[in-house]
Amino acid sequence: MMIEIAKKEIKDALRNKLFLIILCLLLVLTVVSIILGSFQIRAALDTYNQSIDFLKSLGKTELPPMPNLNPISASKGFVNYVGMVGALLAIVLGNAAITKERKQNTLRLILSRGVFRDTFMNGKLLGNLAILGGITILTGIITFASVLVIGGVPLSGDEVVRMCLFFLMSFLYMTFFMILSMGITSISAKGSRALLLTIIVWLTLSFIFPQIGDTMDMDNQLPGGFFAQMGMTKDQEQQVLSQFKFYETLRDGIEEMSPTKHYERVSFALLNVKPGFESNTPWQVVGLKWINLLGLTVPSAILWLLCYIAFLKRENIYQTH
Amino acid sequence: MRYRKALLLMILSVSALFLSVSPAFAAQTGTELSTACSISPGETKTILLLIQNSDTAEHSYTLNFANGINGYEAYCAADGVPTKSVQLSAGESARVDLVLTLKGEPSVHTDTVTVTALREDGQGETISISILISQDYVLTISSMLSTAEVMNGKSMELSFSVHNGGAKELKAVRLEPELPYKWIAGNTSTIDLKPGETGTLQVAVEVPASQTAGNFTLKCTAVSDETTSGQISLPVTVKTRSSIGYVMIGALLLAAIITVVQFARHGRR
Repeated sequence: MMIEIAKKEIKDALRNKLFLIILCLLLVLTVVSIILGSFQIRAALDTYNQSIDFLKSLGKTELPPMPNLNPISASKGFVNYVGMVGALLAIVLGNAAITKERKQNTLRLILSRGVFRDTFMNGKLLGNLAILGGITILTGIITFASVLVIGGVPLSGDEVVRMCLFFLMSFLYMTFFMILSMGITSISAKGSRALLLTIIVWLTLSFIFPQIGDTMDMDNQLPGGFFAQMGMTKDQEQQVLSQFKFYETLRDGIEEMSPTKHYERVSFALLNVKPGFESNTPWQVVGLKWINLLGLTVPSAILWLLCYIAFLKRENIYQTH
Repeated sequence: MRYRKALLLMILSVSALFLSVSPAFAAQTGTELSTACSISPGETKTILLLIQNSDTAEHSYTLNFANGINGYEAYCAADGVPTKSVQLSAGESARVDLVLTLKGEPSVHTDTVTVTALREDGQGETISISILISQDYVLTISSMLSTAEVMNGKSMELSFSVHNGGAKELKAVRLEPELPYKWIAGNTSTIDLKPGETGTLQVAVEVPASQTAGNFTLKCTAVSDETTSGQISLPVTVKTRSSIGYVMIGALLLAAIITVVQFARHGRR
């Protein structure tokens, strides 16, 4: 029965106009950003090849090695698009999963046919995970093809693993917002109110909390850096910082509550956008960034369990407003 | 009278010759008798240069430094501010400091570096400065570790070996670490090193709790009252504390237990 519900969920999603519009938007943005990134790689490769040809024509035998083109960084823009459009897509998907059953009065019908509430929720989750998985695989294929065909740079084994892990993180990030949306909708009587509430939570988690982390950093209080502008020496800077340990812990704690921040940190490390991870293997990067992986998976699992309890205990489950 | 006329004619001729030749020089670049300099490894010396515009028009002079055999780090400064060019009106002269630091171990003990003052029309003058590497004060530093690992929010103690390779005693040898943003270094001990002697210095480095996991570079220099060593880099890997993970897993287990209890109490619906 769970599989049947999941299949129905996929069919319904493909008929949801709002979902399809956001999906098209995400795919267009992904294709444009990856193609532009691939062209940049191509341009860098052409410049290097021209330099080599020129040096060879001069009879030089000692040729400079190829610079690190970092072809996987072509997905850099994709991180931002998934952070915004991907999360919105997942929210719409999660909200529609519960709302449509209430609107069409099919929830009562399904649950009266011997389907347990937990089976119903599991089927919904499975179907939506399959949709998000499909979107992730599709964007992954587009990325690999663009880098290979347009960029003209073959990816190494490590780079392929890094890309695959990055797409897994994107999937986990979207899953969090899909579960959040399903949870809020299942405890809320009105679907539109639940959607609005979920979007407020998303805006808080994705934009306000990371902004608190960035803008409340002491050194970001003045353009060019607070300490540099105040003409402080390194010793004076250290003395000031040692006085603000609690403030720093609080600021960091708020930032850690944002799944978007976790997604960005692990993704930028995997894609070598953030320097310092070039010499690590993909698994070493995940090992170093395990807290971000937990930050993406544990809140989703907790939310899902709470969603179970709420849906199981709720009496007025068919109430629409 | 004839002699006086001849003398006057000679003075006029010399003046005319001087005026005709003088504009041909882009600049008269001189030093305050510092065409030679003695420097120790890691030491920074300031060499005074005098740039003079002997032309009748205003000119801009670009200053270029050319390294010798040893590795130097150098820049020009006017009034203490680093500069790459100076603007001089006709007949004006300006004092420019060449700030020179000998990096790493020297390959030769007698070296030459050059500074060129290049005018915007391509004319210029080059001055060579002889460098004598002093062996009196030679301080070297090496790390006891090739890499270091630390948890965020924790501190680590790093040990460095310092060696006096010079002919004279080094007083108050201490460490000067250069850390990533928000990292805090504790006080370092100081030691005196006799010629040929090697000592160990420690520094406690505190990594802030807000530091995300990753690979960083810590730079360190040994400094004495007399000289400075070259800078060394130590790769430091920051890992996340396990306690945060335990809290998260604990929260997940708690949620799982509550769910199981709910199912046990109310059954499936």
